[in-house]
Amino acid sequence: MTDGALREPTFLVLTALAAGPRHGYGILLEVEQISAGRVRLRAGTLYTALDRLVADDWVAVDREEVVDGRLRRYYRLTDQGAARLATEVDRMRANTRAAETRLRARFAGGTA
Amino acid sequence: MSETQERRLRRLLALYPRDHREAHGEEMLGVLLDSSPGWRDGLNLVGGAIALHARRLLGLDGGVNRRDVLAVVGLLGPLMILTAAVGDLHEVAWFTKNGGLADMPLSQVPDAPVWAVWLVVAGLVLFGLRRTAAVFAWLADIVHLVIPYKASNWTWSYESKGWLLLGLVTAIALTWSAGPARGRKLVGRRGIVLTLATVAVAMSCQLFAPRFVMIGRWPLDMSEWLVYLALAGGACLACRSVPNRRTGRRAAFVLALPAVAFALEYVEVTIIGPPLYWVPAVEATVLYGIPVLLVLAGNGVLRPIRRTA
Repeated sequence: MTDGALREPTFLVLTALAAGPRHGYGILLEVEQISAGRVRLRAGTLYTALDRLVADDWVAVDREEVVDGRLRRYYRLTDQGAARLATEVDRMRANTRAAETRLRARFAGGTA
Repeated sequence: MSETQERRLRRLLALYPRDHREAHGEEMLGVLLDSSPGWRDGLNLVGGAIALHARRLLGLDGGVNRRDVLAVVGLLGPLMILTAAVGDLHEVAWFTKNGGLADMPLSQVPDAPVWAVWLVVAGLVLFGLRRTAAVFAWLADIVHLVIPYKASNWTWSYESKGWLLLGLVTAIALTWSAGPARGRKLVGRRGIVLTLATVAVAMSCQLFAPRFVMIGRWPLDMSEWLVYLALAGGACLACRSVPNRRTGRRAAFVLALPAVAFALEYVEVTIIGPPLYWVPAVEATVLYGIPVLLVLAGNGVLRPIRRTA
């Protein structure tokens, strides 16, 4: 557990799992939707991130299914992962608030 | 999705570490088949495979118990270090054979006190006396560091540097780990016996194997290479019984530090050659910096990389 900023793919994967368990392809779609199409994760990046997140106990395997003869594994956010995501959200919110305050002052002062 | 494409994807997935491939290979294939992969996905898979291999290699995936690594090193390190006494034993044997042992000058075996203290440390760890062993291990390291300034005819050699590194790590292990008792639980009697056998084999290689042979244009001291090959192989075998395989592999790597220093020195002196190896900073980096960095990285000590998750 650390206070360092999360990389964007990690943040988006955790966010995708915050609402409930997702399988690999489901996470890719969810990340694309959350980022309004700006971030499109690929399988290599996703599974490298999942490998690290599972090792850190932020994400765990929820269940497995076989669909059309292929294994489909669902992942869920752990309590530890949820706490880490909440910390990151607080950090981003504080940064955003500070930026908003300064921008408002700048625009109010007519220096924009 | 054609069969050709699926075969191509399987070939790319085969690049992943074995444990990951077995756990996620089919799952990843399913995800790739769902997402109509292009050439960028292929490159991305290669990048992912490299990243995961690097994580496994550097022990960043949490699979290594560092305290257990040190416990094993604390037990087997002092035994392994006895291999370095072979040079002095060789001198003693030569003078004995020629009937001049009583007249042998002590300058023939200037580093004998170091190995004598390590012999005491080895006895202490076998009896599970961690704290006393730690004190003697530090003493041996200090003597090892002081000798070059006291013995005018003795100079640093790559062998000595490698053994000093292992000696320092062993002293650290004895001071801050769970100790040889825990190490003994991990490697068992088999690990100890294999280590002692390794020491015997390595010493025999030094004494009886042929000396210089030419490999292309580079001279190779066959007996020394055999010593270090025996050391590295023996370390791997002795640590195989550690239940956590990654922890065992890391411990074996630390025990094989003298072999790493030897190989680096060979590259530096024989292949790169002067003037590079005359520069003290280069030599210190090659012989101390790189092995220490490898040990730290190999045991996951350099963890800031992981913290940016």
